[in-house]
Amino acid sequence: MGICAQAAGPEGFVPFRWANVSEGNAIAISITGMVIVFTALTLISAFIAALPRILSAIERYLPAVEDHHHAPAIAESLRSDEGKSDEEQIVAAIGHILHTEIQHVLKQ
Amino acid sequence: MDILIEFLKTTGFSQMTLGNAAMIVIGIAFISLAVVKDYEPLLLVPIGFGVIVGNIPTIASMALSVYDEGKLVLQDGSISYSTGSVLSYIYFGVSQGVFPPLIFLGIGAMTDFSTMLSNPKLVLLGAAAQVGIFLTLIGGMYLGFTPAESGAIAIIGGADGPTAIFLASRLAPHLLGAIAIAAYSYMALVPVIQPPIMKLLTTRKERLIRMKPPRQVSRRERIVFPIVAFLICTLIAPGSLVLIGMLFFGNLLKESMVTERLANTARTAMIDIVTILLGFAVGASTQAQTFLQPESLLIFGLGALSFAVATAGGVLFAKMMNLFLREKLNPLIGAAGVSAVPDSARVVQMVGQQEDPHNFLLMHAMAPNVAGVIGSAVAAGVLWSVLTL
Repeated sequence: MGICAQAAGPEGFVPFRWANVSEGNAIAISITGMVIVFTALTLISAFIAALPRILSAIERYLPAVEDHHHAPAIAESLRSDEGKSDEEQIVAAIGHILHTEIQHVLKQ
Repeated sequence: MDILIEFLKTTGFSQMTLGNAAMIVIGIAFISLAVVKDYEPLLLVPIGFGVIVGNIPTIASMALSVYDEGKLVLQDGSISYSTGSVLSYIYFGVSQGVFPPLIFLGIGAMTDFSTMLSNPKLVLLGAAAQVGIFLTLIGGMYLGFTPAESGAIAIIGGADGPTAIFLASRLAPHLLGAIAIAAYSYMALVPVIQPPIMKLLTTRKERLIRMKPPRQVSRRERIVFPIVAFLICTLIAPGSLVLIGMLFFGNLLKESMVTERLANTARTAMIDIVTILLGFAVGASTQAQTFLQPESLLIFGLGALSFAVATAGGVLFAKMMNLFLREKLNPLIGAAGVSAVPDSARVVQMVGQQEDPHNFLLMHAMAPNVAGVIGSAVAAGVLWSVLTL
């Protein structure tokens, strides 16, 4: 109902008063609510603080597998290098150095 | 000629009230704020246009407004179904609390909890900032609102639009439009409301504090966190099940890295679609006849109070923590505990850099910021449970 109903009622607008607060248990609800929110987030905080230790204990029995979802890009680059001879790789390295040097000279 | 006169009577011009005109001006103001000032354009443009749409006078016999729902009609002894307006079906997602959890799914899929995981004590700042909600609950009842209405209004202090809409739809559906508009307005005004409070409550020396860079967080930590945090929150406050569940489900989709397609959809296309529908429907629900009431002004006043108290609560709690910590926190980051992701964290960065342009607080502020999202969802769950008992 709220204010509209109160305003329309025979007594007119109910003035601001603390009785509304005490009748509705507002302070008790507020304190309880804050305690619950703090409890939940404190527990989360404590859990996060303990998490590295929990995980390192688990690590002994269940070692983390390699992150295969990132692997394709690295594996792909390794695979692409596999077919190349040492000579090709040396030529590529020389090319890179030459390019860097030319850029450097051009800047000067 | 008679037909023309009858038609003219049905036009918006003839039925337009002063209230409708005022609301249309407010809608245009929202769009202007978004376009000119860049205040939350993704929210204010849909809401602003929705306000304009919702305040075009409609014809009584035609189902056009968001409140024209489909219903069963008894006529000549037979029951027939009268279809509702298109807008009412879109508004269904708001009135039944469907959209907010979907938004939370998207938020979860785009949130990186790493900074919070690297510095767990910052989680407490997200709890402290919820003080605004609970003090406003007392304020609401003092002003004569019922406990349920007060709870729905108080959640504006959580600075979380979807949470405010969700709780209002559960506790006080008749105040939904005013609460939603107030919540989103204050979220858009974070850069205006927060800095004066932050500066007022901190000294220059405190604002200059630099914090240690966050540590690297392992993938395992990031995967385990949403599952355990969900269990903690919902076992303590089951009322937060829907919001917290969707938030952490979205985060698990992201962090597991095996559901990248789903996470990507949740944080892009899906959240965008829901934001458009939610913003537009909320805007369209603010018809002058229902929105321009004295209680709307009180809701806006209480919302501002709630937001200011929440900001102050976060900052003061950070200062209090500094009394016990060897590595001091920059108390400005406490202001980010009000959620409003990521705007309040950006404001912290901005205020911090005004004092020291080389101090980067954004990463640190994101921790209380995301903790604030969890805190406000838990607070909403608590209020829902307690006030409907």
